[in-house]
Amino acid sequence: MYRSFLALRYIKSRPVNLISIGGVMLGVAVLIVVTAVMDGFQERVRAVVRGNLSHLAIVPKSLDLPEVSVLAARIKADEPRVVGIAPMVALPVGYVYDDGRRGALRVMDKSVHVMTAIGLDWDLEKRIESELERRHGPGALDGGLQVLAKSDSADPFGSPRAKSVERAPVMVSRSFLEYFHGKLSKEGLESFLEKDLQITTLVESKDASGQGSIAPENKNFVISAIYDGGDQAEDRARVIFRRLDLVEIGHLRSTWHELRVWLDDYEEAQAVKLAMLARYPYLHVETWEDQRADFLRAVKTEKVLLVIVLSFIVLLGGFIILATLTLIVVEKTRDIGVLAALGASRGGILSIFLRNGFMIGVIGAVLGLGLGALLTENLDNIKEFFEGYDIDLFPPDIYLFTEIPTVWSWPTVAVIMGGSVLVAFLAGLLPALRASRLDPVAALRHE
Amino acid sequence: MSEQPLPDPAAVEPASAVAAAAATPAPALERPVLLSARGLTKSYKLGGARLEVLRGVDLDVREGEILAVLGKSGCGKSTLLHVLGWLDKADAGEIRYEGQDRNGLPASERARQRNRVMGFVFQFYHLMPELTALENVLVPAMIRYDGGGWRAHRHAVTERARALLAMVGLGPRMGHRPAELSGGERQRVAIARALVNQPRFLLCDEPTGNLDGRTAEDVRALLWGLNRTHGQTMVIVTHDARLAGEAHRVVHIADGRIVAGASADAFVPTLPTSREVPAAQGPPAP
Repeated sequence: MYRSFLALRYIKSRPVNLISIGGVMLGVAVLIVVTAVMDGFQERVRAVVRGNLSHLAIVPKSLDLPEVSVLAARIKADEPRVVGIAPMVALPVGYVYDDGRRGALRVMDKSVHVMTAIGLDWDLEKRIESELERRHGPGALDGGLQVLAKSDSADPFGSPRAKSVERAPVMVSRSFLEYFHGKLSKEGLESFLEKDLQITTLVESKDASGQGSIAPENKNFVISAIYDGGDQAEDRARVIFRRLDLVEIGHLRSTWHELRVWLDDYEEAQAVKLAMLARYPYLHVETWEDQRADFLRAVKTEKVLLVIVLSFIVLLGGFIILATLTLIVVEKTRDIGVLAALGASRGGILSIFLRNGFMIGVIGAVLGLGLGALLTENLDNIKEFFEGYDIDLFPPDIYLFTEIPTVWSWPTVAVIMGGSVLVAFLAGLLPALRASRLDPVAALRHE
Repeated sequence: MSEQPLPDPAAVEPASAVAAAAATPAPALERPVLLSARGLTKSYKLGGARLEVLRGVDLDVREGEILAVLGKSGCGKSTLLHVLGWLDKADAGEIRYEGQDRNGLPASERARQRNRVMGFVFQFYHLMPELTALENVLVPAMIRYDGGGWRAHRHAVTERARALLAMVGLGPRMGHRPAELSGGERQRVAIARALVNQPRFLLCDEPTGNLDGRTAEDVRALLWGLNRTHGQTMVIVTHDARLAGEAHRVVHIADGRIVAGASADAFVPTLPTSREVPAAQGPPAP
């Protein structure tokens, strides 16, 4: 009992302990904020990646593709975890414009913004999304494409599909438009609807001798909708067509390049992938994580690195505790002798200073939890505050998102707090051992 | 371990009254030996040299006596007190208490028994600066009940600590910290602290050595009053011949040995007949 009592008194009576407590508090708070942001960031990134891709992508190994409907029906029959399958085609295209930009390709005296034209079956994908939302509630495909503005109230591509692909409807992203026209309001975005967009496609052709060649072809399309895919860089280089329009525009030999597959539970993507690979040797199957593996790994590595670097703050707090407790033990040498004279055992004296370190750790960790929670809760306010001084803490063009995403994870917080208390405890070990090994008689004579 | 019946501190007169009554000697001529030390030796390593502080000390402490150990500074009297109080361990020899040698016990066991049987009073008080007077007095009791029982004893022990502080005349000041108390007051707190666990022995190391004449006399009177009213057994080491002269019995220590007033001596109260130590019993010139 006297051990906790004295440990607490020693902490209270020595303002220098506030530095130790402050060190632990700061370390815990920073770690909590950073892990919350990084977890939130990672979760949002994964949702965006997942939303822009499908849970699985099936690509045939040869160009002799079976009929889509036949293959899709077979997969669905074989694999009950599959909710929906939609075909997709993709084609490299260019957006040609006059003024040069950094990073743009120059062709003759024009600049070319290289993009991927993607052909989707919009209706089919919307039906799959509805089915997923029916099963898992709204936002089941959180992170997917959001249509910001469209000409037609029902279908972003307008309906029905025209006979000709001249001036076919296309969907471009907000970040694509903002890349060329600066920041746009909702009205600004809507003013682009129904506007023409000239796109250069590469078209396969065969001459009389049967020699194949690829030639560029300029075509005008109409912007029928504007979307936001959440991933600024990806969105900027992506223009979306109706699949069958794009097949015709590009003179594509195959009506599908990839099957987009959605599962009941995306966590099972890896398992379903392995089952499919075993079942259909003529198909490549990739999960959404495989498709952006490098990016996702980079995000994860960034988080781990940050946590490691910031853990040094806690370690530093530990060294402060070590230093101040060593100081206190020297200062308290005579009291330690007195305690021994009054009957305290070596173990008791050891325990006083161990508790001292431990209590500093606990107090620091609890205060750090409070500070960390406060900061995490008000991160967007803090961001705005700094924006007032023209400091952009979280530029959306780098970090994909406009608000700072955070995830509060109690297990992570518990590990941070527990780790910090452990560091504090260990930091107290050396001074405590020193105190317990003092010769009580010599300690009594200490001036 | 048997315990001395709790002297009811409330029954003790206030310090001033104790001072007035201090001169009455204990009546008994022959009292049982409570603590018996034989052949104590102790040496320290000082730099490369070996410093022999105790060179075979035999000493008995009898129940209810005030035993003064008189010697010059550096003669080993503090070391003797520490060894007698099981704070320091003699290199050789034994200290029998209740029929058992306590010197050879393991450190943790000596600490446990020291807490219950010994009460230390130091020249420089050695109070804990961050604790109030009352908390300082409670520390030995907290240590005693550390393994358990604090909750059960807390109330009684706190009451006892309050009563002890009242007895030493500090009733109204028990919430003060040592820095707010005078030297004499601090020593009274230290005495109350030494008594809180009802020790068999009060071991005082120059208890008045840091106090001026008037305050020193008050503290002395307080100690003597404790002995008179409760029969508190005390060992006081001092270089102050006048203080020693007030004790029931004086032994002289020089060069690590008892040189006069040997332990085999009968319990002969030296009070009040001789306040001066006879020249013949003085320590030999170095």
